[in-house]
Amino acid sequence: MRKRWLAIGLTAVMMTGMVGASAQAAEKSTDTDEQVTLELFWQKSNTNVIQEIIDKFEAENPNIKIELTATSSDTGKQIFQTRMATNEPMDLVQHWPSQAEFRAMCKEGRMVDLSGYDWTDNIIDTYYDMSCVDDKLYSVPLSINAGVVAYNKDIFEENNLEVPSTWDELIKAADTLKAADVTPFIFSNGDKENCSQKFHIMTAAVADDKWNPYDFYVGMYEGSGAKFADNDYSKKAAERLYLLSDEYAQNDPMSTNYDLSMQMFANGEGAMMITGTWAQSDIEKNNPEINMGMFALPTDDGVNMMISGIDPCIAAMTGTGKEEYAAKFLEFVSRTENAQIYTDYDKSPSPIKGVKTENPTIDLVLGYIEEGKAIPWWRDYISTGVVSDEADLAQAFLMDGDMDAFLEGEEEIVLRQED
Amino acid sequence: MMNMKTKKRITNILTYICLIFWFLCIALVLYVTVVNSFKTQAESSKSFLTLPEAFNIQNYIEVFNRSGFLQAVFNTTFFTLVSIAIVTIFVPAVSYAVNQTMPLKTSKFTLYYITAAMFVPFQIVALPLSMFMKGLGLGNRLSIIIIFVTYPLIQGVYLCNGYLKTIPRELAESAYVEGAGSWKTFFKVIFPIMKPMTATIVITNFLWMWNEFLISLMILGADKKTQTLPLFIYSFKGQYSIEYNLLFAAIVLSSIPLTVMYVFLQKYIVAGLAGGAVKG
Amino acid sequence: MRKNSISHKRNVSYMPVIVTALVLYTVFFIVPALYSFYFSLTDWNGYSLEYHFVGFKNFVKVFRDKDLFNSIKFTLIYTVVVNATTIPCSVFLGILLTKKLRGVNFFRSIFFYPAIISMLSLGLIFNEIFRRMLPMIGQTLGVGALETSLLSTKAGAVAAVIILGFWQNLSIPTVLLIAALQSVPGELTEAAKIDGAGPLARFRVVTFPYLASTLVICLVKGIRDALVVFDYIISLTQGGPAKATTSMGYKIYLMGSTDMKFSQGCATAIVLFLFIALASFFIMKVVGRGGIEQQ
Repeated sequence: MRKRWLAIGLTAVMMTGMVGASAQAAEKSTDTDEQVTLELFWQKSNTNVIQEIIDKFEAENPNIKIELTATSSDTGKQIFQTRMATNEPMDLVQHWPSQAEFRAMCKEGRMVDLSGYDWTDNIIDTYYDMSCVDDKLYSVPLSINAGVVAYNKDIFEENNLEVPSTWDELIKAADTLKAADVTPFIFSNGDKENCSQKFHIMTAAVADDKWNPYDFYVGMYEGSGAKFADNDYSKKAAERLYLLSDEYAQNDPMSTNYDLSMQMFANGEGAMMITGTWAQSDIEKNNPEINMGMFALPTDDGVNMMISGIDPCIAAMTGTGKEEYAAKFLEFVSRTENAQIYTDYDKSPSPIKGVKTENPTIDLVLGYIEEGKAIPWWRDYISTGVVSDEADLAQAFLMDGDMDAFLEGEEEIVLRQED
Repeated sequence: MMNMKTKKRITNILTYICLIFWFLCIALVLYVTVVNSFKTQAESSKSFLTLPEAFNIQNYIEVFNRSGFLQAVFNTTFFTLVSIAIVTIFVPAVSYAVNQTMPLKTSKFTLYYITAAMFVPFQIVALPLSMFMKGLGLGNRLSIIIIFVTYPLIQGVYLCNGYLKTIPRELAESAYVEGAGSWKTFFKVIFPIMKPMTATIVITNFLWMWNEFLISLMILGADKKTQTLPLFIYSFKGQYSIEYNLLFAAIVLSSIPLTVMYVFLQKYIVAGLAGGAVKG
Repeated sequence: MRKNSISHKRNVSYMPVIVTALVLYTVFFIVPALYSFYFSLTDWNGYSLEYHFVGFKNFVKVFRDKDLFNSIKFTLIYTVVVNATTIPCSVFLGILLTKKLRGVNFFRSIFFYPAIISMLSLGLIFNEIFRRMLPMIGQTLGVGALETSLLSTKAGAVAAVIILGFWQNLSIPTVLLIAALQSVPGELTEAAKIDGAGPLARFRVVTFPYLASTLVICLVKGIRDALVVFDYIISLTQGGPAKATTSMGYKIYLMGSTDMKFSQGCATAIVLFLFIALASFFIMKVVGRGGIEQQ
């Protein structure tokens, strides 16, 4: 009722002179009935695993029922936006804490601040910090991703190769493969987001104890006054990425999109691929028998940093009147035994303490996470409106190799402020 | 004489070559879609063009089992049929009323007012429209139908206008003087004359409604009860990956109702479209 | 006097229809459009509940947006090329399909079929064709030109969208033109033949006048659909590579959603609308036969 009034009111205001007006959050009165139904807005395709967790939760809390609203991530984005704009909050929402719109909603107080709850201690500190927006926790992370190199173990064996531990070894391995007529790297430059992603992975892979991309770029954004030209790390990352794409990739990487790259890798059409841990399930879908592994992209003297972040998370929204019940579900999800259910299915590392990831493919990667060599995807911490611009820029760079234009553009993007 | 015959023969052969060429261009796309909908992802990554090793209907079963396929077929059919039924009468009636029963100046102004929207990219109004719709609280179904009825006016009135201006105002007036009520005049005299143009409008809008994506997405959201076919299809496309064999199966399945309809009605559709262009 | 009152009475009975139409159109199109104008004067990002009035700041940004020109350029190229190819080709196919030959009806119904499939589905299908099928054929046959996908270069991706646009948009004009061609009296063509007019001259003098009004319809519809092209882009190229195929409709969509610049998107849309309105005013003047002007 209130909302109807609001819309009509807005129209009236607009039509009578379009004076600036701002919509107010409608606050509904709290309903304290016995039986409560919560909506969980889910954007990933793995609905069966969350349903399993929901069932278990409902068994424990017979007065709370959770209804799953399943969308795909593409349509989910649009639906999420419409529902934010029309102020129809969902009780629980699955999102990605790295995404600009989610962070904006946190900043605006649309997500419930969970910082005060004791149970949040069960989140591993690094990932607790990564989940935070303005030092407050708004979501429970479900799994972690990392930017890595996926490699085909069989191809490595056939060519007597070991997992490279330095950049030179990597290039040597690539040369050996090339000489043996095997494509060393599969690139998916047809997907612009993949291009910038690979650049981000590469920036972590040139880091050392004097420089890391998170401090440098986020520092620049926050006004450290640093410049790209101050050091050679950005240039080094760009050069190395371009070298791999230009010299060691398959024919015409621009025509390959993410799907196709997964397929090519699954079919053994290339030995390595710079990607994220999330690629494992997509590769295995194409070839369940593949013998693959993942390793962190090394720099000159080994692996110093690996870029890593939170994949999906669940948050509770404010303004529903059911925040307490929603928080109960979040607490349930953050328990080790329940997070284990998710991880058993997802096979990615878990941000929850005590959860075991049984997945030999990422054995090499898990070590670095435990050693604390993970740094966040830095792009998530600079201005929010740069995502598609940066992707276009990176794609153009991999297309024409114009280093100066790329670095200039990146600098402009890192420095760009919210307006 | 002989020469003429050979010449005609050559033109006929050339005609067939052209027709068959374009036929192949169309058929190839349809062939690829159908063939790959029967393959597993692993199989079609090996060869995209060959026939499947075995006609594997697993994809179809999976599409069918995904919740909401039949519901989506029903919803799309419902929205399209209800809206098109209204459009069939509404657009010609409005066009006629604006064109022939208003004073000349008002008529012209109204036409400009309505057709001004013709070149506005829809994305500009999509979000405000869906917010406004939600605010009015009309419910998903009614909102979609209202939009499906309103938007065809924009182009429809423009097209009908070009057609109607060839019909003298006196025609309806004389029928009216002869004692028919005004609406009777419209249905008896005007509507039949406009039939070919109406057919064009109905068919193009039918296709638009059946395949409409963005408005439905914004208005209907994730509501499975009112989801339409294009939304169902697009849900096969995830953030990074497309399960494209499933997707192709979904596309094939979702084109079946329209294809069946087309097979039965194609004579009328082609004839109807064809008639619209030629002024009476 | 009597006649006036009759037509007045008659006119009154149509008022409800006109009013309904105007109310629907105003409330569900004009009001949302005004909403966007209103939002263009604010800093709303498309998500928040709060926003502020910022005056014409967004319009200043629109004119500073260096990508805007590119997306106008792409949209115009697409519009011009698709219409300049589909219209003549549909006349040509129409002529072939009105010949009294066996199987013509079969071809007619197949040629209309592309119109039935949704633009979105077609974009997804053509994506696979361009990325997978054509390079695969190229590699098997050893045709160098085919080995690289069209979607991997800027110019190629533009061509790919145009090919898809052509493939689907040929269908409706062809069927529309068949009828127009059938309305050309056979005697006239015969007479022209006897007068010794060549096929081109015959077409120009005899056939064309019968096609003119249909061509206007096809052109107006074709230009409209092309200027607001969106579905093909989101499903085939996502505007890439490197923004080469970011159409105006897609750009506005991106600004409103992923880029969180809804208000700037609205401002862009308004500028583009004014631009299109000017352009279409000239188009209507030139091809104004079907337009309002000549009433």
